[in-house]
Amino acid sequence: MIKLKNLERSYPLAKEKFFYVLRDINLEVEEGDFVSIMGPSGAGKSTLLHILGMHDHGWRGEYFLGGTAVHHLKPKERATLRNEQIGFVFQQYHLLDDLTVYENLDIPLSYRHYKKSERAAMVADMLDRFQIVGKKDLYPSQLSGGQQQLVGVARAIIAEPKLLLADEPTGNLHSSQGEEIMELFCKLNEQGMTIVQVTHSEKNASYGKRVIQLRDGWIVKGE
Amino acid sequence: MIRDFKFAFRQLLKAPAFTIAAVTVLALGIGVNTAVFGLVNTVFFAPPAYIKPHEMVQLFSQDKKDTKKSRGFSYPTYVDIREQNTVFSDVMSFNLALVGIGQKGDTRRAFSAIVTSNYFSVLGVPLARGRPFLPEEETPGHNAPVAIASYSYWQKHGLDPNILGSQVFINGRAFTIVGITPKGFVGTMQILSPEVWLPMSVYDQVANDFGSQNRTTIDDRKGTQLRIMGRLKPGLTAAAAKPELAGLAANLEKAYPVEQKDQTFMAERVPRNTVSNTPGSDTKIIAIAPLLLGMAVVVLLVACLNLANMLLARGTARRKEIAIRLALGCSRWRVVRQLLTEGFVLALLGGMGGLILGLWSSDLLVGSMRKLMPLDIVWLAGPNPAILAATFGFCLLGTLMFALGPALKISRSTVVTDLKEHAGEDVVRPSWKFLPRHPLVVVQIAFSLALITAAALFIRGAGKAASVDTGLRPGASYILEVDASLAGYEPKRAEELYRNLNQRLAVLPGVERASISSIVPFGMFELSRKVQRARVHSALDAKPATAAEGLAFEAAWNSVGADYFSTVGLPVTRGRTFTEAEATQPGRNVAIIDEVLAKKLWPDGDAIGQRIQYADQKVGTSADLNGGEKESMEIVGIVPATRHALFETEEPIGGIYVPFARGFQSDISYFVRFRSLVPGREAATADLLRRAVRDIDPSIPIISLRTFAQHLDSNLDLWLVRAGAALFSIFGALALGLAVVGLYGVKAYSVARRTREIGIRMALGAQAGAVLRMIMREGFVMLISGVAIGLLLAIATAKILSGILYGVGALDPVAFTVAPLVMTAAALIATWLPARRATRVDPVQALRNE
Ligand SMILES: Nc1ncnc2c1ncn2[C@@H]1O[C@H](COP(=O)(O)OP(=O)(O)OP(=O)(O)O)[C@@H](O)[C@H]1O
Ligand SMILES: [Mg+2]
Repeated sequence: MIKLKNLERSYPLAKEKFFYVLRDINLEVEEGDFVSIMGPSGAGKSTLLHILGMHDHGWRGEYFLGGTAVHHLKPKERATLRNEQIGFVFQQYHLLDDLTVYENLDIPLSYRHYKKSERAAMVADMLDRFQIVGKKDLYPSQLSGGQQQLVGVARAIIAEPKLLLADEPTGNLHSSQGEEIMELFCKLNEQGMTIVQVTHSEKNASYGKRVIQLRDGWIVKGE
Repeated sequence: MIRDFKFAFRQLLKAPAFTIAAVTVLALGIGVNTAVFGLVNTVFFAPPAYIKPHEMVQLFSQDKKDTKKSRGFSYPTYVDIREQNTVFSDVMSFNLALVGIGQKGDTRRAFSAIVTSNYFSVLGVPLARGRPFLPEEETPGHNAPVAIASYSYWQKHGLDPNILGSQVFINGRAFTIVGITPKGFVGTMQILSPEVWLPMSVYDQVANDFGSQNRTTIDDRKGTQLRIMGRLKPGLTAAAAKPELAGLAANLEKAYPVEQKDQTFMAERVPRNTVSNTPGSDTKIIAIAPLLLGMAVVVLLVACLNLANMLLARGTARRKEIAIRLALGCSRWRVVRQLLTEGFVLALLGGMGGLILGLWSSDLLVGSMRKLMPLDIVWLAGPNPAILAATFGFCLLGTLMFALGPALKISRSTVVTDLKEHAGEDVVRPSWKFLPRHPLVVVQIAFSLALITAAALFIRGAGKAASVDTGLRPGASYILEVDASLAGYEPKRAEELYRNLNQRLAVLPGVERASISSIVPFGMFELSRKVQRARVHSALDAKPATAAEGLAFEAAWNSVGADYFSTVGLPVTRGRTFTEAEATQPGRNVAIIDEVLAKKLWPDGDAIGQRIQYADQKVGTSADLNGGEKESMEIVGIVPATRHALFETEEPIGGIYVPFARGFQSDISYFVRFRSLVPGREAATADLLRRAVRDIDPSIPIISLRTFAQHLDSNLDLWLVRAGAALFSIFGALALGLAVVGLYGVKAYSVARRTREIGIRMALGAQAGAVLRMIMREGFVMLISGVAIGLLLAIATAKILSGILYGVGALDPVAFTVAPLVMTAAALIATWLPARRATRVDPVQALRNE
């Protein structure tokens, strides 16, 4: 599903020096895999995930997604590919405050080519699946953290991505709420979704199939 | 309170960009208001230049039979009124006369006031230097060459300490300056001032009453040259003086049954901006005051809305600070007071800027008017208490308008949500969803649209006015205006000089034709005479109903040379033009009339060969008094009708032309028609004409020299339309600019605030186009609602303006298309810039900045 070859990401420092956040990353993720990326703060985990999610384009190296050479794609083509294949869950949920739960779920669909009726059906289906039908007209500020992240996950998978990327999805949650999310991930993984998550907790990592350790931009274990 | 102010200053210093923007916006709004208020106040409301204005009245002489008819007074009548009245503590008399000041080529036109010796004492104004006129300088026949000059005349001469006793040349004759009026003195009007004051005894030498056939000398009781103003005895009102004045008039009528026939007197308020024989003549001008003030207030309103918006935006950013303060137990009133203080400090700063801007721009406006008028415009630059008070008032008003609303809104925030939600983001609650997000911007757009629509209407009017068909085809003509009387020529000699000059001009190289004309159409002066069929004897009090019975018609009058019609391109459709002999020697009494007058006088007959006469020979002409035959003229030709005023609204009146020899005027113009005018050679051509005058007599003052096109351009009506267009354009542009800046500010601010949201949307799949569309769509909602409301406002404004618009309907489709288009284009650009910035948001950065 994912194949990275000699990928590196650096930020310019003063005077033509560069600060390498990621170095010589080589990584393969099979379809149906459930990978946890771990490592100390500042190791470059989020950076790697944003590259995979094609939010960041300032990297060098090779990135294949399901056989497509992402490094050869133009920004527009990357955006299309991403919209087809990838869903993203944020650590801080990042729901839009002035939209209801229903409207938040609808955002990804509104940027893809779905008909109005299709969208309504998909949102209704998702509300059903996550058992939040009763909350559909509430605003994010009226939900608990766990409920907000549930909506965040629902929003990430509503457009039926093959790959789910999650950056510390349980970071701000109570442990029992965290477990709930992790079990949801397992279920999605069983249904065939490839998942890459960043996590600090060994416990969360244990839900996954394998762990990649990142330190100072290098992969130190689990290539 | 002091603490509030200190804190306010600190807050404003902390955000210098915001403060500068806010002060600029306010300065514009307040500046316009200060300028307009200054002008309106001086012209319409400020106390006049003389003392105790409530005691001053003008005396009018009215026809008892026809109260619409008013006239002036003769000098002997004035003396009688002064001596016999019981209501005035004193009464003076004067008239304005256009004179030439200076010598030879340096002569310029200026207004003089010819006054009785008690003029300044009745007005209660002591002179700055020198003395007022002496009683003997007033006595007719005395002919005393003394003058009192205005302060601005003195200024023009560098405040020369030896000004008293120096000489000023008026109409070519030396006058000794015996006094200087105080600074700011303007006579009886508001800002329009004569430049010199002359004693009554020189009246006959200086005054150039038009229609010189009926001229009476100043000691003639039949005259109507003078206006009378007096100071009522303390405690007496104009109404209370009425019976006394009527009694006085009756006594005079008894003593002079012919001259004072049917005349009664009445006292009324002194008109502020006109000099007239008719009471209530300046009420029309006053109607402009609310219009001007209204426009200015709209600009202030737009500025305040703009600021309110900026404060709201800033308030959103400060919401967390305020929420924390409220949570710590600060009362809402204190927060409101703090925010209001900040607003007031802003308003004061803006007010100071506005005051400077306003004073500067009103000087500019006065400067542009000065160029047009032969009257001196006396305008005391600098702030006076009224202007300062008004500006401070605008500041207070502004503070209330722009700071109160935001202060109340911001301080109402519920503590918990504000502490919990992402700081500084606008959270729109469901009830607001379908309304535009920023109603203040919508209102700004609406007001600006109304103003620019008005501007568009005026611009259209100005365009139409400039391209009006005058009916004349003068081709490449110059108009050369001279006045030999200003060089001391008597009419007989002047006539000869004019004849010689005409011949000389006609043979200049490149010149096709040249002709004298005492009136230039569409100029500052017009003359009209009443004309009727000759030899109709009607009873003295009969009211003729038809032309055959002797009904007289008003007609525009002109006296012209033989070549006039071919020079100005007016074909003689029937009959013939004047012969050279007719035009230059008082021989056969002939006239040419236009088709309109011909149709009126002979509705179903031929006017050629018929005879006509003036019907309005005033009291005093020999014919009328003796009941004898009037001089009649034979109609020898008929020409097409031309417009007489650029903006004729009513039916055209007729026109009558007489040979120049039978209608001498001292102030005349030549139409000099060239075969062609080579561009770039204007200076040389003008020089050629000047030299021709100099060769005949170098002392002849050239009053003006310009092409016919330039002459039309300087038409006063045209100036008014253009000034309206300019004013509305300035106000409209200001409002448009403010609204666009406001819209841009709101959009830019909201894009900056919504970086996170935009980042999330992009991370969830939004591409640049989608983001652009989202921001533009929100701007569009504001724009559409603003334009919709604005169009309604514009229609209302246009209806109010329809009375003073020229040549365009109030709902002119062009103006009502162009203005919204301009507004839309400007607003789209103002939205597009921030929207484009939104598409460049880097989602990774946006999401990091948590
Ligand atoms: N725009 C940037 N400019 C410079 N350095 C950056 C930039 N963005 C990220 N970095 C650096 O890259 C490194 C990796 O950041 P990243 O967010 O990927 O770490 P992380 O492993 O996700 O850490 P955490 O566990 O705290 O989330 C950090 O040292 C950070 O300072
Ligand atoms: Mg991270």
